[in-house]
Amino acid sequence: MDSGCALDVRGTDGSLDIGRLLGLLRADRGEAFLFGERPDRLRKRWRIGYVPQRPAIASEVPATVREIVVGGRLSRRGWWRPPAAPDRQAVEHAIESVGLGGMADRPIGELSGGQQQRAFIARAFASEPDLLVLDEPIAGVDAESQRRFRDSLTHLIGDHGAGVLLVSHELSAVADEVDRVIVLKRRVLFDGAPDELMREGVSLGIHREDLPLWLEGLG
Amino acid sequence: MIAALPSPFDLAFMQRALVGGLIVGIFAPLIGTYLVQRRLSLIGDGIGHVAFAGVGLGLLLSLRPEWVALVLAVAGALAIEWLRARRRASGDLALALIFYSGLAFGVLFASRAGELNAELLKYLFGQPLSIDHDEIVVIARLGIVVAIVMLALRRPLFAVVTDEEWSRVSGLPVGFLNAMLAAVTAFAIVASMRIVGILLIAALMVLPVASAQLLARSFRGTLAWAVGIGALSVVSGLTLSWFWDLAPSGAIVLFAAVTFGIVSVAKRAAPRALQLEEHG
Repeated sequence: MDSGCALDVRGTDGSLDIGRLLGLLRADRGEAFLFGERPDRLRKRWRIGYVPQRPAIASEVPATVREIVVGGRLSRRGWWRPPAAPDRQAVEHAIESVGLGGMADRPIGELSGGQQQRAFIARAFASEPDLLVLDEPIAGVDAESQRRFRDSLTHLIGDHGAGVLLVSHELSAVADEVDRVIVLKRRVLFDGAPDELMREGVSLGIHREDLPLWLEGLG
Repeated sequence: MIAALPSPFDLAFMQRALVGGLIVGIFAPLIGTYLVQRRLSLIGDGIGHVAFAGVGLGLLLSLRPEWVALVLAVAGALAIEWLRARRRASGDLALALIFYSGLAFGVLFASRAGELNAELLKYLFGQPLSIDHDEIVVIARLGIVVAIVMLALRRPLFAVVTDEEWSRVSGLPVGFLNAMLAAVTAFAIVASMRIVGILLIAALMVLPVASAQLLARSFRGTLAWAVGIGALSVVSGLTLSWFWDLAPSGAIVLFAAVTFGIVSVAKRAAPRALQLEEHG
């Protein structure tokens, strides 16, 4: 997987699949592999940049965007080491690349939903991952944030050569950027390029009803 | 004329109370900030109950109560953390079992030792003015351990208390870090017993943080404010108790509580003026 890949999980619980892939949960059957290793045995965890669907972030105490993003460097440099110059540069670069440069010292609780999500994407970027895993990133995010979100993903793929695994029920915002789609409903229903899916009469972009109808036909 | 007025901290016992009090006034809110972020504000109360059993056992066996309390408090803190991490359906009741068994054991042990009154009250309510030199050494040693652990682990600990699931995915040793936070909490509680007492420890861990999170706009800023307000509460509480003949532990905690009241009223009246960490 070298660039954008989308996992369509209509009718399944995408968060569970992500959990299995990342080694948080155990697979019921079969095996998951990540960079050729069992997910729970993967040593270089910084290779995954994880953006949770709704981060279970505690906000009892104020924390700034930068304080959150700095966490992304912990696994990369070793959590016991103090940050050095490359760590600080990577953090600033990650914050800039999601368009939050002017808000780095703002408490994250004061940001809009879309801005908060970009902060969590920046936290994932900060480890300079080989694979960015996003769980339902477009749900409930405003148009401006969707555009910036797409820009920062193409930047990550283009400049850093990272892969992106995007789990979503709603792929229209990124339809043009995706080069492999996997449709899951308990089993793999489709695995291929978006235009192949188009030839089956399903488009990811404009006609949002296509895929559910197609799924029902397969049902 | 002014020089003739006795300053409360001229006297040796007041100096010992001040030194012990400042160590506790700094470290209790420091750890408390992480506990509040994790939504475990009252955990200090529970671990204190377990430490109480250690005090009773120490009195019964004629050992130093602090060290026995430390062993039991660390064990209790790790058990509580283990239950929390597993989120057992019966976890809440299991916590109650640990807390109140600790308290009950403390009462039984101390009554067997025939010291249910005077000795035990020092630990329940805190009597900083009667702290002796050996007790100051114990508090200082506990403080040094807390300082080293918190200084070394502050960055990964912030990540874990703020977003545990993400920390696990990115490969932080979440179990180890949680266990260290629990153990350090137990250290701070044992250090605080003689200053504010087991019944008021959780207050000193949490009340300065409640004020600090209203004043600060970052986690680092909250830590600084919490530590500052904690230290100020100790100095002010001791001073007030000297002039007005009040119980020092109660005066320290009430000062922290009144500070929170003033800060929250002022914040409501003038929200912008209180944003002390302004930036362009």
